[in-house]
Amino acid sequence: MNRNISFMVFLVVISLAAVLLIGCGAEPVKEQPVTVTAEEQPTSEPTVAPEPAETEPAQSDVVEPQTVRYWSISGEPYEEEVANAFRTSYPDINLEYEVIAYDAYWDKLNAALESGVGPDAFMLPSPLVLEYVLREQLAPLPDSWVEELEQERLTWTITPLKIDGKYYGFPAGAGMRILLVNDDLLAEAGLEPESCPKDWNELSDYARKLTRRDADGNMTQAGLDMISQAYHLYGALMDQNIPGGPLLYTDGEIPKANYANEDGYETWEFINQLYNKDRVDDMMFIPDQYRFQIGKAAMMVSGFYQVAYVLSEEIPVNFHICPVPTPPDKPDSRGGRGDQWAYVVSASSENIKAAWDWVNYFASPESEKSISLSGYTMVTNKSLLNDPDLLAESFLAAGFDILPQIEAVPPGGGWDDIWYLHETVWEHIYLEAPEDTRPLVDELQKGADELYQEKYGEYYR
Amino acid sequence: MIDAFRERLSRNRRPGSHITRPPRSLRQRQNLWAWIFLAPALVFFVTVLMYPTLRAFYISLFRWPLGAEVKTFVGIENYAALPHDALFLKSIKNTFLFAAGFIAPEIVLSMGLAILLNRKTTRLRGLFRLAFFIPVVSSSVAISFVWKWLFEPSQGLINYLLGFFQISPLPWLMHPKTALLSVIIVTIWQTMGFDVVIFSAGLQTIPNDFYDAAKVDGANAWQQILRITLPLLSPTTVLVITMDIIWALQVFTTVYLMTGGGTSPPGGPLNSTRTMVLHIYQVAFRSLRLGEGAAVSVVLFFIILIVTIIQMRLSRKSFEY
Repeated sequence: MNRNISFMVFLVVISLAAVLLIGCGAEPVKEQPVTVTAEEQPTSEPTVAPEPAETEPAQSDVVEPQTVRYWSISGEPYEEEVANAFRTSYPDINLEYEVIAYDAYWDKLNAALESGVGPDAFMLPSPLVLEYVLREQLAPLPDSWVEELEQERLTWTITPLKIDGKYYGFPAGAGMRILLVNDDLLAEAGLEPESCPKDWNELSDYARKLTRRDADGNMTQAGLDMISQAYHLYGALMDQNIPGGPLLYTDGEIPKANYANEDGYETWEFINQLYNKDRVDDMMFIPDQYRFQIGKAAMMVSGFYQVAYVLSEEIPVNFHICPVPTPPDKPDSRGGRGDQWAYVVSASSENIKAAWDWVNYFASPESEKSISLSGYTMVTNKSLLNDPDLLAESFLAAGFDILPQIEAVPPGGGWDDIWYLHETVWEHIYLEAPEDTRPLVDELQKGADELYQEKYGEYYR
Repeated sequence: MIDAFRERLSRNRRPGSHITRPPRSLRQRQNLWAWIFLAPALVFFVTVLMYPTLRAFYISLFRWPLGAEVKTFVGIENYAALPHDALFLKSIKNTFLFAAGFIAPEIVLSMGLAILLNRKTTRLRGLFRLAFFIPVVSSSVAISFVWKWLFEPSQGLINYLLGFFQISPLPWLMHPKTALLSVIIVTIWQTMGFDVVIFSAGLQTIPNDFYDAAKVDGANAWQQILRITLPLLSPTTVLVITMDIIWALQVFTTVYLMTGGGTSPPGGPLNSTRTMVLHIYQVAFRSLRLGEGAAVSVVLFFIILIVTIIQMRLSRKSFEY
């Protein structure tokens, strides 16, 4: 009897211990970890392998390999190639390159940072860097690297990363907005081949001529895809038309929203006109698809990265790239503002130096060139602006024309939260066809000011 | 007889009675075993349910930027701000609209189907039960995406079918007037099978004698349903309604997946499908204001608690057989 009791007590204790272990063993779940063993590492020379930074201690001094966990939202094969090359160049750093799907990225990243198991280095949209810096979540760039960064990079790509005199990351490519135009549909409409609408009036004119409807009035071809990525369209137009942009930032002050002015009203009224008066797009027309990519929209404003997506289609459309048309009275604003991500290092990383080594490597000219050629992203290193290999690619060459004309996006713009406010105005426009968009813009201004107060108020009291 | 037993029992309990209480050591051992057997469930309950609940309440008293080191105690400030938060109020309204629009048709349809499937004359009952239950065990993610395509305004199957009846294409998920309705339709389709099973189990408990007697008395099928089935099924109905209310108050996955996407915020258009749990998620994980999100979750907890208490009171009532 006693033996039975002892055995059952033993079982219960074991089961309790198991329950406790399950509850307490909160190891972070790694998504698609890419760890390469010695056997798997490339035997040939890596395509990119810059030397370790001069500021680093001799690699042989380090006995234990330092682990750097890097979270990416990209997952493109070229990133893994760069990661493998890094492993070869830095054998004493164990790089764990992990791809997180964008839809889950914010949940995983912020929950992991909250619980102290976040990555050492990760990607962050430039407008979010300020918020994470104020929350003491990012490590500043080593001072010894600053001069090099400022000399080598296009200024507008690093401006949003500079907070209170310190830099907090490397730009992850030069993000910029462009107008993609379908050449075949242009020809069908009798418009000049490979031409670009120069200003808003021409954009409206082109879009009207390129819109097709059937006998019942149902849209069969959008002149300008406004639905798929509306944020790029209204983002670009606001950047161009509002002097100083829709966000005003001064170091040490709460960023200020800048929508409710004549230029802001004019921008949203133009969007209203395009959709409701020119009727160049329709929310009922295959709204869940990228219409430009499948040849159902003649034009689209998007990020430069869209080029790679369009080209990767099974049946790629025949298209060319234009700068986003400018407001008629502001022809100099043709570049708009940058729209890029950054590689940053967590302040709570135990291997900050090693993490910066990886980030520096990932953003080096050699890596950038490799990534740019594979993924058609624009570069941030000035040394690559005249690179013959890059200029030989027609799409990249078109991007290079626009690159120097871009202005910096200021720090602090937010991400999803400000996007929701923009989308509210856009949704009112396409759902309600308002007579006057001014009240909506005023509401946007109020909401954005409250948002910035909420986000930054306590840090700038 | 009973009185005599009670008297003897009470006499035996007097101090000094010759009938002693069970030996202390045996009682202790019984208690020990009871605790040992309860322990796994208790540990699970405390660590997985109680602790997070209390923790959420604790977090709700702070300004808690998700991921940041510094958290500031703000007392009930997060709660005090809720009545002035238009999005929170909108989310409550949407949640109750969803619950109202979902529960009534869900109950009527699932009860009706259960009654039909319970009839001995219905052929292929097993097949139908299986068919109705498949959506319950299917992935909500897959269901949401499939229905999103069915609702697609220009090429979706639903608008195509409506075209046969000369009905113009509806914008479904694209318009505030139809977006919540679309989600309700999908939710009913997905969860109805579960309620059918519960109702079927309830119907099995009603003795056939009642129906036989009613037939002898000349009651038709409709009268049998009204006078026998519905009254005797009322405990099951209360249970199903309560479960559906709780489920409706916590709706998230379908709304998040059907109304959101890479290019449009979930809960739209114009926040017409922003439910309470979606609001909690957006505030806590997208706006990184965990304290405010926790405050909303505590409010939701109390709403569900009240509903559960009402259900417990109702289910305690005796039902006439």
